[in-house]
Amino acid sequence: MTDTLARPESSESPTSDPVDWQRVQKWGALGGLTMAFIAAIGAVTVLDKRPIISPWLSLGFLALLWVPVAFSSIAAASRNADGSDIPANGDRALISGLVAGLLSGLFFALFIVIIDTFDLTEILVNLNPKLVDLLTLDRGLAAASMLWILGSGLLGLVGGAFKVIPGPARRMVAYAATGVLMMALLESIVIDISQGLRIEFVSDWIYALNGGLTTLSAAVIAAIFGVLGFLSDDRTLSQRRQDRINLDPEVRRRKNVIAIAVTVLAVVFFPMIVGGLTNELLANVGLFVLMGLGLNIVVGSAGLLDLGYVAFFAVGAYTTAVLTSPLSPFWTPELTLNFLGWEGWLIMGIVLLMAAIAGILVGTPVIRLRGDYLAIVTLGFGEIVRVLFLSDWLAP
Amino acid sequence: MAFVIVWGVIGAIGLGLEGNGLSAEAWKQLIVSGVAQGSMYGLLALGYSMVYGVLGFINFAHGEVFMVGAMVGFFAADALFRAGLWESSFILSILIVMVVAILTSTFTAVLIEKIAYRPLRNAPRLIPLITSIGISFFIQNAVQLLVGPAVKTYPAPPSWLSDPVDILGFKIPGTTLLVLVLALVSMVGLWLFVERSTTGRAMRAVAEDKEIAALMGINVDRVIVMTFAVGGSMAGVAAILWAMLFRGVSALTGFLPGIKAFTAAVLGGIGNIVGAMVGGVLLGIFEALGPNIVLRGLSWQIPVAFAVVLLVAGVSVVLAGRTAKRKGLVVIGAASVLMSLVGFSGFTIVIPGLSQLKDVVAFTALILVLIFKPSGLFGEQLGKEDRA
Repeated sequence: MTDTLARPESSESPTSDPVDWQRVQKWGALGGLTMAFIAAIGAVTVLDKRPIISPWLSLGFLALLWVPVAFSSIAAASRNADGSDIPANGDRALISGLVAGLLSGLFFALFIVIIDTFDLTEILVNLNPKLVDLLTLDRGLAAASMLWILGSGLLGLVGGAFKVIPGPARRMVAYAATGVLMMALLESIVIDISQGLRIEFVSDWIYALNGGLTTLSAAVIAAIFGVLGFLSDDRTLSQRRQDRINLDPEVRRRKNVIAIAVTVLAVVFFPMIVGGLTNELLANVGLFVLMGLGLNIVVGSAGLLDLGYVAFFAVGAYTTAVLTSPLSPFWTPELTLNFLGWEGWLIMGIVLLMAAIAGILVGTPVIRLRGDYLAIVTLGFGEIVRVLFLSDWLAP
Repeated sequence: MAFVIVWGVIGAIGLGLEGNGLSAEAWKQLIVSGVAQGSMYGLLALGYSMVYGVLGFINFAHGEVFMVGAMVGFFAADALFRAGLWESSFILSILIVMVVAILTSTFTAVLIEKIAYRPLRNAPRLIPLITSIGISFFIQNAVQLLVGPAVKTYPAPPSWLSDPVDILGFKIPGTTLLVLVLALVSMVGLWLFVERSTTGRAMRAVAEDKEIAALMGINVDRVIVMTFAVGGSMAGVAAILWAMLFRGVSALTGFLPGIKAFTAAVLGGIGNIVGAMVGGVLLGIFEALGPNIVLRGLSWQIPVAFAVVLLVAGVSVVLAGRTAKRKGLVVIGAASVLMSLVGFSGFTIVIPGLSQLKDVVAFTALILVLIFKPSGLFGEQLGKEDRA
């Protein structure tokens, strides 16, 4: 099948820079398999309930449709002898993208035909009739297959085109797509914040009644982010970072002070204006930031790959529970997690101490082990802590 | 190691005296099941050991290779069971299932190597390690999503097989016997392959020194693929042993046996094939007996045993005459005095849910081995660049 697609195309493009058919075949087929995999893990069925642009694009279909775009874009790139990607030129990228997309669609259509013909639910639980109904789009198997092949080819063409359009246009497209996706995915957060700021009419206008952006608001958001993308410069993140480092120390210090002040103000006042959902999210963010900072000391600064780091988190959580749970033998009514009085701070001190002791106990003997042995010892320690804390023996 | 063994022995004697231990029959049962599980760990450990020997990193995804084999093997077994073949000709069907599991595991292992590890061939050694953890999580979750989270249960073996056979006073269930035979055959087969065949020799050469092996005309990439393939096929055999011993398979099945098999590989000396097999069996026995010996009714004999062992350790330190360790001696002495005091004060802890602590014993063994004897019981066999 790949040959019948490939041969006439290659004779039509007698450029000096021929299409790398092997690469196109590889990425086209991989794209089709990836789509089938995404469908088989049940992502389409589950995520279909989440509209992105109401009513015609759900997250489930988006989970499939990004594949031909991305994989064709990879197929359209070509490689230097040293393995680095060189920018593709004109026709070649478009043809590569189109063929890779068609190939992905072909594989995926084949997958749909297979799951429609054979009942595989006994083995792969997600390949049920519901998935087939979704994927055939209520248009019958033959029409749906054609639609998938052609649509995927079209998306592949888009992916190929992404490689050849000039930089500003590429940034515009990337910004617009990211903006729309973010606004749609963060729907509840955006609603929460706009309610906190008393500007509900914004979120009411952006989102459809049953969730997801409306077509109009999606277009507007895409336009806004597209303009932002056009206005942005093309420096990479590492270049920006380098620029920051190259700043005059005095200027940099002032900028740092301003950044810290803004962060502190935001941390203090932002939770007051937003609702419970966003605050819960922010609390989790803070938790993970704290854990990440701790892990950075061990893995980043000391260079010790500690896979059981989270065990210290468990030690702290367990100690807190032992001290404050009414079911625990150490429970006293006075000792609560009250951070306005002294009790909460006392508990926090004890917890810190226990976690630090656990760290010293584990760290002292293993510190001299070589890299991967250290990793496995800490992993084992993490497992020991998990099993112990879940066992009947240490149940409070 | 001596520490742990003496502790165990004294604990066992103490239990015998106290009479609160298990009956002799129960101990024998524990030993048999320990050996059977241990031989499964041994087969898995071979995969870790060989990859570590050749590439110098811990392939965490090996447990998942094993799990995928067991999972696909289940579907084959289930199909055979429905066709009625499982009951009528069990040996044939278990052979079919075994071939399916071995092929799946081998394919998975080779695929992982090609996709994930080959691009990282010249990366620092921790990079493939972290990659393998990622691959492990990916496979675990992908399988869970693909086939569902429920535990799949292999059809029961026919009754003529599950009846116990009496050998040397040990009552061994037929399935366990089959497990032992299969494990022994595959281990001997692998040993012959590595020691006698040309490919095996090439493998050992690559493990010793990649550059020189390449200069001698060995295709290093091909040998590495072969290593993964052989390790994967051993994981496939282990998957069938698992299926016969426990019957239940889920997406999370691979993690614990994987880590324990790595423990076994370290215990026997990583890179050492015989060591991996013996380490696996030792770990299996230790895991089966450990919780009962070490933790059952933590009464007076345990602290006393502790104290005796610590005293022995202290004396041997003195006899070794290393002045640098004198400071350690003070600590050991103080600890042993304290332990005996605790022991004779009649202090008793009873631990409920002992079998839950099986994994704790295994991991403690891992940590103790890595700290006190990281080269394992039989010594490491690593290439020059991997020796630290």
